[in-house]
Amino acid sequence: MKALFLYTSIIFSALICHSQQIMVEVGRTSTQFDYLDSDKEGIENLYPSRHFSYAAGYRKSIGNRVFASASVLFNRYGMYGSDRLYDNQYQWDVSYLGLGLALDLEVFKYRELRVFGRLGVDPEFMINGTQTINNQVFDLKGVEQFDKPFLFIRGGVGAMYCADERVAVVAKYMYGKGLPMGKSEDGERLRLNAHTFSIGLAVSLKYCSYCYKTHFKKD
Amino acid sequence: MKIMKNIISVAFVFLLVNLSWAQTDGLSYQAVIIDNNPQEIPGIDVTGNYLSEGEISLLFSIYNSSNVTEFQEIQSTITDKFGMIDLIIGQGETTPMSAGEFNEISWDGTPKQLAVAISYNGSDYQEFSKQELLFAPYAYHRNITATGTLDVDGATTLNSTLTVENQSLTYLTGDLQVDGVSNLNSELNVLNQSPSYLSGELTVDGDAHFNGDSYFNTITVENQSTLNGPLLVEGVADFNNELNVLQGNPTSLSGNLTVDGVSLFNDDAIFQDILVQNTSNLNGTLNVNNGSPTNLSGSLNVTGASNLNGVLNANAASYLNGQVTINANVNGSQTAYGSYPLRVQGSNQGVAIKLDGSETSSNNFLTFYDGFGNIHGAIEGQTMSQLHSSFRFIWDVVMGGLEQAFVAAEGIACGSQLDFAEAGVMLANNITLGAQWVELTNNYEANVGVYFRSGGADYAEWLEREVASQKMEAAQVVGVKAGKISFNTTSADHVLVISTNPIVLGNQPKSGNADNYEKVAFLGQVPVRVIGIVDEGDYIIPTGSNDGIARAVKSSELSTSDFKNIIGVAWESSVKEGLKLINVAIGLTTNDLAAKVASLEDELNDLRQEMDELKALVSGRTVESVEVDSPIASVTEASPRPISWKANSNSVLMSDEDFKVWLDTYGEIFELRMNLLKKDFQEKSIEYQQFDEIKLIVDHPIEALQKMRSGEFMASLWESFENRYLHE
Repeated sequence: MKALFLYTSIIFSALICHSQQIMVEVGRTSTQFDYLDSDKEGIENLYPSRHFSYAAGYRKSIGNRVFASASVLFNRYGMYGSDRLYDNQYQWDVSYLGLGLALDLEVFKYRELRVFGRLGVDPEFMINGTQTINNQVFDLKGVEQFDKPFLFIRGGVGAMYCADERVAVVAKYMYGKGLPMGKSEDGERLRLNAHTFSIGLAVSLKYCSYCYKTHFKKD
Repeated sequence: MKIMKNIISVAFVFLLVNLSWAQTDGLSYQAVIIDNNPQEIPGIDVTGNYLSEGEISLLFSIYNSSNVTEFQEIQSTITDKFGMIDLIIGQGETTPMSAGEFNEISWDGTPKQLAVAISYNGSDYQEFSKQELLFAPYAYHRNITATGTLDVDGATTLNSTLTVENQSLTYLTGDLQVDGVSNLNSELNVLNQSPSYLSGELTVDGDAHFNGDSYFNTITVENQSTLNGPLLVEGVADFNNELNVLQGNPTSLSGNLTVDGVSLFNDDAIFQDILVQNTSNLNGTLNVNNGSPTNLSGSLNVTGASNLNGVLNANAASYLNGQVTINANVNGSQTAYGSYPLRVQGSNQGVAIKLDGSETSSNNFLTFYDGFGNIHGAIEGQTMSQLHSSFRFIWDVVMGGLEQAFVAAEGIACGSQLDFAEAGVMLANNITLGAQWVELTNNYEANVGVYFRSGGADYAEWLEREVASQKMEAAQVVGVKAGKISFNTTSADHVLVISTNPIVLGNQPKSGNADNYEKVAFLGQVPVRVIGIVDEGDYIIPTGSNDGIARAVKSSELSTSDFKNIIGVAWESSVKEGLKLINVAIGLTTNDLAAKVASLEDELNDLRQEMDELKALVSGRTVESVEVDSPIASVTEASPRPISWKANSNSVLMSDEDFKVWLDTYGEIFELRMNLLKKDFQEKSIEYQQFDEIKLIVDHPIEALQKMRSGEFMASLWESFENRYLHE
């Protein structure tokens, strides 16, 4: 954790004053559990629940159309379902904090609008989580399948619209697949599939106006 | 297979005991098989799911209280989708360990245990349940037919009718508690002298017979109760309605009977002792029989008439606030003590009669009636008014006044401390006379007496007959000799008459001796048997024949020997020659003899005078006539100037001229005094004018003194005053 923070800080500092943006986003995440029990059988009748997600990060152009970003992510994942046979009801609600690293490729540009594709990875760690079984609430702290880091591989598209020379509005869709980091001891497997729709703002740092350089300044 | 792993199933057993007749004996066994393997889900796995559609085998074992296997069987089944199984224990395959079939189990009430083991592979049974078989707390049957005995150790609740047929007996060794109504269509016999306790009401629509003792805390009888035996009540018996004892049966109370309301005795009531705290109202007759006394410690108020047919003994004071009439049926002779209805005895005083207020002449102390309602006499009281109006009282007062006037006059005449003014002041202040008036009044008032008023006319006494057998009648003339009477008047000491109607009768003979006595008149008006013509004023004397008859004799024809036989003076006349009753006044003739003696004495003096004259003539002397005063004559008639009655022989009588001067000088004193006396009389409403003599003295004292001195009026009184106050 400390290494990751240190690494992120180095990258962030190296990118200062090179088309640098501060980005803040808020989105809505829909999660799907990809679960197999020890008999490699899944569970039916599970439904995703939607939660807000938040991100704040730094973006810097590293090429003409390529940007690198690093951000801090706060995501909530959850699902609910029931078992008709045993008449059980389940519900999960977990919160993760992660560090996202991504590369953006600007694929389309028209006037103030920029469309880009993003590919990134973010390791996430559970902050807290609860599981409700038949109205009984259990803490997921220490539960193997949840209280371990997940490595999300995310990919998606986004659009950025420069409102002025310094501020751009960003809208983005990302699909992420969370893979548990480590080996399961009870033979069960849990993966998280998340769909995130977010919007945000990208504010160019002084003297590093992305929009000015990329748009208002004629190439 | 989850089922193949070590599974310890927890069975939730809902056990029903269902013993059915005939073909199927068994215990219904239902259970839910819980799968102990958790259901794997993301995160925390789910535990406690039932075993859905799993194949299992169950081993049922029933042990007796000695832990011996009475029955054992195996049943294989598949749980349903919800993990439930529904088996009948007793329909499986018995094992060799079983002692017999299920229907051979003896359900004798001793504890039995059911053990259940489960297997998922047909072997390897694992016991998961062993529990005691409990009898169902509630068993619902349509019909129960039992050929054996039914032992119920606990409570039995019957929600409907319990019918014991075939006249079978029902034995209850314990208590029988009936919360509802118990209807017995036949007899209820409680044997062995066992008691019956009813905490609630007992309603008997029919007759209730108690052949033994019955004890009740509270008994309410809605209708008639017939007790053929005695009813013993140890506690209080409260009757909120009537208590009727019929058929003339007696009611005996050994204790007190307290009646807060009215007690009505419509027939005879016999009491040993009766204590009445408050008012007793008897609307009928109260008879005290057997000569029993009736003692009253308090007052007896009788609003109506009280009729006593027996003796009434009052040992304390008796107060009768109403009229008392004594209708005693006692008759007898006047000398018999028992002949009198009212007898007062037992004390040293007789009868005291007290009238209300001051008595008047119209209020009598005693009034005497005959059998026809005629009044024959009365004893009246003399009122103070009568006293003050009596001649004697007024006379004495007037005399007292005159005395005082003479004293005053003498005082002035003698040059004593008194002068006219002082004498007048003394008289006006009524010092002496006032004291004399008070003394006189008190003396008279102390002697206010009663008047005897009666048709009776004489005062008589009982005198004994000389010959007891000699009967005498009223109005007969009798002679008294040595205190005894007879018809012999010739040698009698006194001649009297048998009284007809005496007002006073004295010398009461002793009891039992009255028949030997006669009432003899001594004083008053008495009818006398007189033969011959009678004129008023004639003297009545015996005929001399000792026949009890008298005759009339003129006063001038009385002989000296007749004087001692004078009975009295006739106060009526009769021209009849025969025997009749003449009203004679007896005891009033004392002066008659004196007149005769005086006449004889005059004759004797005349004879002496003649004798002296003859002697003188013979001897040649002259005789002077001597006037002899006859005091007797002054008694019978008033003389113009009576011979002086000298109280003091040395006194000198006042001359006419001196009297005139004296009267002119001191007459004012007498007028003053009499005026004061007159004023007193008027203030006291004393009618002095009814007496002429007193009227003259009071109204005209000077004229009265003149007439006194002249002899026209009470000359002797004047002489008395003259000798005491005016002599020299």
